[in-house]
Amino acid sequence: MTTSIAGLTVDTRALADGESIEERVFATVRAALEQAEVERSQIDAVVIAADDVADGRSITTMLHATAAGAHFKDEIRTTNGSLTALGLASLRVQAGLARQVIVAGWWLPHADAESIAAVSLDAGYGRLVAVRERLVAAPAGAGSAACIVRAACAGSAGSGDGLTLDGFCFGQADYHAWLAGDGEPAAALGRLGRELAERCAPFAQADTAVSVAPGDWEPFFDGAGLSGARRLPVGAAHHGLVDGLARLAAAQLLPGERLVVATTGDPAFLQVEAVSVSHA
Amino acid sequence: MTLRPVEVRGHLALEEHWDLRHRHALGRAGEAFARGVERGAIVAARCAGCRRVLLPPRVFCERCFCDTELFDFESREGELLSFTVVRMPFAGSPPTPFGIAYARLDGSDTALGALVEIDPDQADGGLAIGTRVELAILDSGFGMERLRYRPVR
Amino acid sequence: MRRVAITGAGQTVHASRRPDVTLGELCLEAIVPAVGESGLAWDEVDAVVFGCGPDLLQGVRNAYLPELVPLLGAAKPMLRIHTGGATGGSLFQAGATLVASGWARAVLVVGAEKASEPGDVQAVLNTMWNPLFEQPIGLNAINMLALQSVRQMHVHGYTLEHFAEVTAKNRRGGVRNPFAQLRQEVTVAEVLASEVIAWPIKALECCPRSDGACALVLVGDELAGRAPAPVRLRGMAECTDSMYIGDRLGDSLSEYIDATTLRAAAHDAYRQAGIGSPFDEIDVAEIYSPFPSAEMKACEAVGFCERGEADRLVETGALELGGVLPVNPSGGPMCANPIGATGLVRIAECVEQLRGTAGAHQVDGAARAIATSSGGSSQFYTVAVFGKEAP
Repeated sequence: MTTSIAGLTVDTRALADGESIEERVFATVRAALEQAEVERSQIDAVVIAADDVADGRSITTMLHATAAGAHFKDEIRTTNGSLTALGLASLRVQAGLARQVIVAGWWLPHADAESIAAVSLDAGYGRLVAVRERLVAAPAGAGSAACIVRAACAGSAGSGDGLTLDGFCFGQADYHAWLAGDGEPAAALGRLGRELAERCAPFAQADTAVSVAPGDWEPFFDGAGLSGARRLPVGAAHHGLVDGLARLAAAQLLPGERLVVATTGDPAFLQVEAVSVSHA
Repeated sequence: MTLRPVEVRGHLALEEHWDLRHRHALGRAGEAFARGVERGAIVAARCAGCRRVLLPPRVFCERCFCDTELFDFESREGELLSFTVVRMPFAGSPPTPFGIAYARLDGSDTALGALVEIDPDQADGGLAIGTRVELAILDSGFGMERLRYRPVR
Repeated sequence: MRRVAITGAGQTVHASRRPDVTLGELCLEAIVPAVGESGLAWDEVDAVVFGCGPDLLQGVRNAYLPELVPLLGAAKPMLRIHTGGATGGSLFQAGATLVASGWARAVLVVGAEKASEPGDVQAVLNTMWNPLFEQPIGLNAINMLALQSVRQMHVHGYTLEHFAEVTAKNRRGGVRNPFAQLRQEVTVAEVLASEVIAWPIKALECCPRSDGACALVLVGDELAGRAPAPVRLRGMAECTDSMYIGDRLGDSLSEYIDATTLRAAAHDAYRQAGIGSPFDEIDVAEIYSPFPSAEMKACEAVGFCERGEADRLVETGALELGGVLPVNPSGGPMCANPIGATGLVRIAECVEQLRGTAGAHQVDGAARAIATSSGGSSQFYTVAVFGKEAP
């Protein structure tokens, strides 16, 4: 069974003055439902990508899950990234555990980037040796994103964006090598590319477009066998809890093209994730 | 963020104090409520769909997934639906013993939690579910610090 | 849905403090036996699903990245799940989803917590709540449950003695369980005489603060035969309630002391498992109940009795080991509560029961088991039903 993505909604603004995370998440998810022409009553499950430290709550989903539509629904949350959430939602549909799933991710930090970066490292070693500027300078634009994932039925593509999910994967760099800049994140990106290629129908380079976050993604292109694929403009980067969905939404595809999106979670290039989608 | 080595039962550990400043936006409903308390008012929300009156106020109804409207809520009396009397403090808690009560004010569809006046000499604070309480707005403090339930004598 | 089996289970001896190990090293103590039992080579494990409680408890954001990845190797994709106290149950569901969908053939699921490391756990947990409305009124995990106990006493007539009986039963379970943290019996009289923490919860009724980990190996049919006695997933579900406790007091749709969303999740899981009469068909339950009142509430919600009749189960000894329907024969979360692992420990205990390897707390002939978890403001509930036979 394949799954389709509908109602993909991305808002890449930081919170306005006085705006709360709850208000933004509600607005984004409601817009996704409206765009997909789905009532919340037709939703079975919600998969969230969100971060506690940024939100300043010990369990941010306790306050924000129902803003993402989870009241009386099955709900789960990952801290990997929005593409991993998208993939998990798709697997819930494929496993027959849900028919329509909301995916919601946000990065709307209330705390400053340097403080968040500092607590992303282990206390005994990383915080002593890491080049903190490197972490802080990493792409972390704010925003919120949501979409609906459901079974792709032949003959009823439905409204919305009409993308079907071919495959997804996630991974991470070796922490110590990443800290030292010794072979990482290249190795992690190479693995990510190889794994995505294994999980998808073979890519035809001529008919595949790729959108990746800023950085050196050559190992990913090599791993996936996509070095000759059309590269979409890198554009603005957003935090990994939003970036993957933002790239999916921004991609301008040629007729018949497949799309691969790969991005990094947080800290940048320690967590990584990728998906492949096609037009329904 | 500072780190210093300490001994924990014969093992070396690193002690750290997090200093993360968060500035939590209150949102439209929260800000209206907090500003309302300053002028002696209680702001509630009414769901545009199910018409439930919601306290604390919020900008959307979790059930109907639609907008709410905010308004000044008149009632200051209601029914006590649950409570506890806390004897063990934690960092940042109100001074113990203190009482937490949830009461549904007349005309509201949900219960608002707030601190409650207690008889500290009684284990249950002298409170009972089903009794009438009133919600007072004190002169000092911010937001919920200014609200107190009191039994209606 | 492809069928899912559990072929390996491991847990640490839970302790109030493990200053000798890092979080990752603690995980390994559970992972090594779990993978060993599964009969799988490490290369055959496709992914790891990891969970711990709030980052603020670990003091490190996404602690698996620095602490577990270097020990397990970066080549294994790791998925981190966090749903508060329900994390253990949610981890299992994420892992089972990876297998049931065919994305993975074998998944290692790991939950862990080092709750000894923060200076004040309850101060951290206070920040679960809305900073304007509920954080300032002094809510924490204990006080939140106290609000529930008081209401059960008023609405259902449950008494301090009922809560103390449940406590004494669970502490007897802890004595029999070598992995438990609290392994001393307490009497009803001792519970009743202990200090009040938050009315009506007494000191001896509070779960301990724990360091511990748990790991399970989940596989599809093709790898289930590698282990001698695979345990089969028969049904699983989650359901989320309002964040506002006050929306669930005396409300027609949702009631705090009914655990409405646990009831809904159990209903769904039983439907998948083909269970119509849980009290008759379930042999053993491992319930996420850090406090006795939560266990009584959960017994009602998972259909072991009618609403408000859990006192009869307590009075008749039905929930004891040797009773009609033993609940938490391991001692449950009241004898060890490593938050991010606790829900997974419930499942590991079900696995031991269904294999017949639970030792001194074995329920004779157990063939069907249920495990639950609970997180947030008694708001996120997971349920999983297991059997010895494949569905």
